[in-house]
Amino acid sequence: MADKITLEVARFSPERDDALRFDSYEVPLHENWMVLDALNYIKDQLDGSVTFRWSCRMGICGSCGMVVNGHERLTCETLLADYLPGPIRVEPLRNFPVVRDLVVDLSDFMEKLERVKPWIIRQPGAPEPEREFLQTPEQLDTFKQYSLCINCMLCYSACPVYGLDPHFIGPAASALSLRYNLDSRDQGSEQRLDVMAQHDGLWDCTVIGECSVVCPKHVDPSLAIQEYKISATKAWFKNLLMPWGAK
Amino acid sequence: MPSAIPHPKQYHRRMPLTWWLERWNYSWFILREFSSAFVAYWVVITLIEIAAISNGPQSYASFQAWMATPVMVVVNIITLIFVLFHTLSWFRLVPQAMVPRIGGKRTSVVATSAPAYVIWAIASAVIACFILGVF
Repeated sequence: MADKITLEVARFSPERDDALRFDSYEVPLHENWMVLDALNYIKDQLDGSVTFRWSCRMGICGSCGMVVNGHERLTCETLLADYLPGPIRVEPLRNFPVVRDLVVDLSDFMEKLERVKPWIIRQPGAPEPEREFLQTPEQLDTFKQYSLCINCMLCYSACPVYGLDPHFIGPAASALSLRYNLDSRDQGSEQRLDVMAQHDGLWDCTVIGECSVVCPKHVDPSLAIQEYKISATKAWFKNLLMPWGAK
Repeated sequence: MPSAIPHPKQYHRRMPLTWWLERWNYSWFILREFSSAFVAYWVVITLIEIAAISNGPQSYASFQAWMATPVMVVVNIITLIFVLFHTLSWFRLVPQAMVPRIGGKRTSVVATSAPAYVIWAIASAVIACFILGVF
């Protein structure tokens, strides 16, 4: 096995650049090193100005999502050795404005996430249980996979619909919204549906499915959006056929 | 409230026109959507055929002669390929679009897809029986 590998790292300095440029760095190739380890080696030993986000190094925090050789990856879970003989091209996530180097601005997602109310909503005056809410394993199973989302934004980067229409609510926000709709303790699905069923909500999704392919936690946001479409259609028909029963 | 700190310049990347060539999933999606044009063509041809039948044997004979020309045979073979692709691509999406639950448990991918293929096979068999004069 070679003892070195080259990384081509995307660079953007708002003070002087108008577009991305690439700097090449040669790093030691250790058998168990991830792309994130190589980036940290570059920052510590070769070029302290290289900027990127990272935190847990174990695929939990969702901070280190980047595009590695054209594909969205958590760099803490991506082995250097899988890209031999190199070079490895590391770019910031697509579809988000680049702040500096490999750091993107996630404000748009944060605004959308808040809009879909990803928390348990109880109706005013709804009786509170005397002890904790109980859930059966079956009730947990309906939403568990959606709760595993770590907000790493790989799905938004891989979604061409979001790239073409930034108003689209997007995969992760939809999955997290559905996660609470499916929770047996929640009573806020109508409030979320009001947001999701708008024209820039779930209907923009064209079922390409790449969001689910790139998800490192095996969440299926594409399925969430399609399940949401079925719910929205049912609600629309219910409202049409029984207007007196709606809200 | 407006921020007191001026927002630094950001780099907004534009999607290239050839974005759909970058990944197999994107290309598959574009092919799936493109195949809708052939489905529409098939519907138009069917409507023309129905109109020809309703106009009498002479009209239907000239429709058949038109369909037998080499150009139309090639066009219709291409159409058949795209319509089959369109059908299979949507069947392939079924387990990606719904997860029916039986007795509270999720059905498997195979069990979710199977009804579509079974109904397709039965419908094709029934139509084939009509064409071959079994009924």
